[in-house]
Amino acid sequence: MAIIDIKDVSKLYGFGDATTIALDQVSLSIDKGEFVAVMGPSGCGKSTLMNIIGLLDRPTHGTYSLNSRRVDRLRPNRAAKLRRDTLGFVFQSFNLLPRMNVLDNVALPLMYKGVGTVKRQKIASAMLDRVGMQKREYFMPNQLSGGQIQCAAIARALVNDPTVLIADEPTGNLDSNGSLLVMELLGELHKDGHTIIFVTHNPELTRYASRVLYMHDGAVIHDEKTKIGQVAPWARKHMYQVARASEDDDYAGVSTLMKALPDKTTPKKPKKPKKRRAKKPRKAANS
Amino acid sequence: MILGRNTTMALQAIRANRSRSIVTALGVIIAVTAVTTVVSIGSGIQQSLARQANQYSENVITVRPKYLGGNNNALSSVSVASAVAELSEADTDGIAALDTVEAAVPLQIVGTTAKADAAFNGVVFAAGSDLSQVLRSELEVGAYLTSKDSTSNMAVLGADAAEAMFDQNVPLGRSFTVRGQEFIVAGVLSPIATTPFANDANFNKAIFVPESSAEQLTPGGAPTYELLVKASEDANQAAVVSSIKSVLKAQHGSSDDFSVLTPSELAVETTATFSLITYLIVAAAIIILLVSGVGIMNVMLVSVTERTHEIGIRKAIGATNRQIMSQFVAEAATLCAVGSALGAILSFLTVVILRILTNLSPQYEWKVALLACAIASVFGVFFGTLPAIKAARKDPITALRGQ
Repeated sequence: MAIIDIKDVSKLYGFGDATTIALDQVSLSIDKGEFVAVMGPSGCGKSTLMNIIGLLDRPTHGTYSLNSRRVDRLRPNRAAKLRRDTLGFVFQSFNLLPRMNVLDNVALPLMYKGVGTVKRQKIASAMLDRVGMQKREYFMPNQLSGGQIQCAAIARALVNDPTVLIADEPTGNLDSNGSLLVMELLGELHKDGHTIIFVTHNPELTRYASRVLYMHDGAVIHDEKTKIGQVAPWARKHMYQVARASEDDDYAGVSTLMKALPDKTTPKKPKKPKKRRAKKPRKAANS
Repeated sequence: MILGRNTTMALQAIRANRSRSIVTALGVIIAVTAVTTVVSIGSGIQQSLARQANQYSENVITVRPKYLGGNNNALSSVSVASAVAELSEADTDGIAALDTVEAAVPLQIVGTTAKADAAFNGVVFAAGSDLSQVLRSELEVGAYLTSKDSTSNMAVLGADAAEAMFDQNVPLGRSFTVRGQEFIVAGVLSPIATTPFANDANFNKAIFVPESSAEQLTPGGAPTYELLVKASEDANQAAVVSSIKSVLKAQHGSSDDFSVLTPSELAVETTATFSLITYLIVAAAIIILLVSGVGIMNVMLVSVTERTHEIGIRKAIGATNRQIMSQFVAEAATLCAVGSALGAILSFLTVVILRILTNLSPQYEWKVALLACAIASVFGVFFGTLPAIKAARKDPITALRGQ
C-alpha cells in the first residue's frame, strides 16, 4: 500500500507567456519503509516536489494522496495540522529557531499540538536521545556544529512520529563528517521502519537509499531500486560523468552537468529512448 | 495554558529586542503614569477637602451672590458682581434675625493690596464683628475684632499676609495702609490648612478690617464676596438653608440670584472643577494611549517582516494560522501590559515623591492604575491584531525563503 501516491502533478508559476513549469505531470508512488533519494540538477523541481509532498505547497494540477487521503486541495489550517502530525520536514539550512534551546526547538511541534510543557519536554528529550543529542539538549543552536544541529532538526521532524520524513538536501550545508553523521542517522531510522525521502546532489549518498529518483526539467526521468550500501548504478553512470568543460562551453555559459544529463524532450543519443520507455512501465506498476 | 506559553514566547521576543521594546512601550508608560498620577492627586485633594471641612467653623452656611454665567465661585468674577447681584446689608440683617442663626458675617471685598514694610497682594475683606464665630482659625497672637472695634481702624491679618507685610514675627500694633487708609494690626490668625486648587478665598492671605471701613474705602459700595452664616448647634442645617433662601427671595423680589451652600456642598464645588481637569487629563491620556498603540502596531509590523523566516519555520512544522496570530497578538499585548505595569510603578514613585515634596498629599489610586493597565492591554490586543493577521497569512514557502 502506497503511503504517498502522486498522479500527474504539475506546478506552474506565472501566467501566460511567462509561465514556468516547475513540475511537469509527475507521477510517483512511495511505499511504507522506502528510503528514497531524489537527485537532479538545480532547478529541476526537486524542492518543488518536496514542498508539495510536505504539504507546504499545493500542486497546480494533479492529485496527491497521503495515507489514501486526498490532500492536494487542503485548506491552509488542515495542511498545517497534517504537517504537524504526519509529516516531518528537514531543511538544508537546519531552520532551528535561534532564540530557543535545542530541547524547546524539538518540543515545538508538540506545543502546537497542545501537549503540556512537562510531557512535551520528556518526549523531546527521548527523541534527542534517539538521535544521540541528549547531552546537548540545553545548548543553543549556535553552540552546536552543523551536523549536530541537523540531528536536532531530524529529532524535531520525528517528534510527532510522522508517516514520512522529508529531507530537502539535509547534507547540503554540512562537511563530510556532518554528512556522515546525518546520513548514518537517517539510515538507522530507515532500519527502524521510517519512510524517508531525501534530496541530494551527492551520488555517494545513494548508498543509503533503497530507491533513487532522477529528475530533470520538472520530470522524473529515471527511477530505480538499489541495494543499500551501493552507489546506485544509474547514478554511478551519469552523475559522476561530469564532462570537462571546454572553452566553448564556458563562452556559451552552458552548465556541464546539464550537458551531461540526458535531455528529456529531444533525445540526441540512442540511449535516451530506452530511459523514456523505462518510465512508462513504472507508471503502470505504481498505479 | 495557551496564554501562558504565548506570554513566555512574547517575553522572549521582547527580551531579544530590549531597547526597541522599551522605546515602543514608552507611550504606554507615559500615558498610564499621567492618568494614575493626576487622578491620585485629584483624589488626594478631594480627601483632604472632606477631611478638613474647609476653613470655616462648623455649621457655617455660605451665601454667595450668583454671578453671570452661573459661575458663583471664582474671585475673578467679583468685578461683575456689583453690577449683577449683591447681598445687601438688609439681607444680612434679615438672616441674622432668624431664630436658628447665631451670627451672620458679610465679607465685602474692599481692596486687593496693602502696604506696610512690604507691599502685599491678597484680599482685603471688610468683615462683620462676629468673625471669630465663623472662622475655624485660632488667633496666633492678639485678638479678634469685637463689636466695639467696628468703627475703629483695627485689623486682623491672615498668617501669610502678616508674614509678607511685616519684617517682625509679632506685628501687633504695627500699622499698614489700604488705599491710603491706615490700619493697626490687632491680631494675626494662625495658619489655616488650605487645599490646593480650592475655589474659596485663601484666608491665610486675607486681611480683615471692620465693617464700617468699607464705606470709606469704597464709597460706591463694596461687592460682597460671601455671607457666612453660623447656624445654631441644634438647628437642622437643611431647614436653616431653606429659611435663608426664603428670606433672601423675599428681599430680592423672589429672584434666585444667590446660592446657599452647606460645608459639604462647598467641597463639591471645588471637586466639580477639579474633576473637569481630571477628565481632560484622562482624555489626553487615552489619546496618548491610542498614539502609542499605533506605534506598537508599527513596530509589530516591522517585527513581523523581520521574523518572516521564523514564521516560515513555525508554519512548516505545523503551526496553524491561528497559532501564529495568537503568538503575535500576545506579543503586542505583553508589550502593552509590561509598559503599563512600568507606568503604574512609575506613577507610584511619582506620588510618593509628590507626597514628600508638596502639600498636594495625593492618594495613590490602585483601581485607576489597574484600569489604565487593563485599557492599555486591550489596546495592545487591538493594535496587535493587524500585524498578527499579516504574520498568520504568510505563505510558508515564501516565508521560509525570506531571510
